[in-house]
Amino acid sequence: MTSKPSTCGCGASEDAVIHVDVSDPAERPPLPPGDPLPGVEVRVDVNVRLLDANDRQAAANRAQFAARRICAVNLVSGPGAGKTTLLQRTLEALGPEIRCAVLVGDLQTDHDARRLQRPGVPVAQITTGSACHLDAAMVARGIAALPLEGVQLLLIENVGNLVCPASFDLGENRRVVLVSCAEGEDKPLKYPPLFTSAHAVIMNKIDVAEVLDFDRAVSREAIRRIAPQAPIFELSARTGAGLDAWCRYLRALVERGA
Amino acid sequence: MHELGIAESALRAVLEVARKGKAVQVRRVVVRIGARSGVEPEAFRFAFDALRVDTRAAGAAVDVECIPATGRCEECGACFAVSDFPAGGCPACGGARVDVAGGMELELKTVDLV
Repeated sequence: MTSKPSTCGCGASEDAVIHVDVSDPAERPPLPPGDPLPGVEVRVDVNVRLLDANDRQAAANRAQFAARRICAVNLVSGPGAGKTTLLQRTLEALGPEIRCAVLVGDLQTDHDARRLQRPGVPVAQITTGSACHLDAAMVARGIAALPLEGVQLLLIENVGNLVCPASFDLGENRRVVLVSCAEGEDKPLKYPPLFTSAHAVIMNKIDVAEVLDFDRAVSREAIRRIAPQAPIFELSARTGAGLDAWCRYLRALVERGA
Repeated sequence: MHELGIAESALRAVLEVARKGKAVQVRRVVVRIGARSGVEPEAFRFAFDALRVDTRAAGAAVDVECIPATGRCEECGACFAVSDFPAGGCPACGGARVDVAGGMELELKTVDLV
């Protein structure tokens, strides 16, 4: 792991971004033992989830968040839906009132981490190489690299992808799925697994909905059909419209202790 | 292609079972993949085959049990097959609240060793 110490963050200098290398194989917990009968065919009933290792790491992450009283939010969307812009606005709006930290995942580059640099907000960039999603072990490395003292809200920006992140629990307290008006109203119907697991759904870029012939009512209906459990926040991260309700939601999470 | 990561995780589990069981070879592997798990069985198989070359699981038969999606009505408890997503309502009592009862499985069920 190469983690450079964070600078004060006010200058957003070259070294201000923490880099997390996920190429080392993660340590895996042991599995139940098989029946040692040499030479004889034996059937071992394993019955573990294929993502058992990930699930266990996610549980460990969740326990760590609970112990530190951190609320962790996993922000998921397709590429270009506006996760990073939303996080920039969110960090500005929550300001000094709530202490935030950010983990951001991309296949390559630390462009997003640089965009998210704010004084007093530690940011770690996880470059996944070829992996199309974050997993719990990557997040564990990310949080190990971040100075989390006093942090109340950890915002995790997942790799832009509406499919694969659905299968990987990161240990987050809330999974928030973001769709934008540039993507069409039927995204939840086309990619149900991610929406099924969402605690909240954000409809972003409402400022350009009309230009794009995007029908917000149709989109709301599609979201409610697949994710009836999720509150919907209609907003524009660019103009700031609707941002208040989203920030109130986050403040309430932090106050309640997730 | 998250099937690659999932297949890696599966192979690691299989080889761990083989090592613990002091097996020479893995004969058969049974995995269960639910229709709503987000994992495509053929993509999983492809990834698993690519990964297991030169391991003790290289010659194993791989059975994928595909588990259909089923719903359970929260009102009357009826279980039924779900074809479209979401279930849309209970066919028995018309109740609107339907839980996913099956189809989310993603499990390594058994490993046969010699």
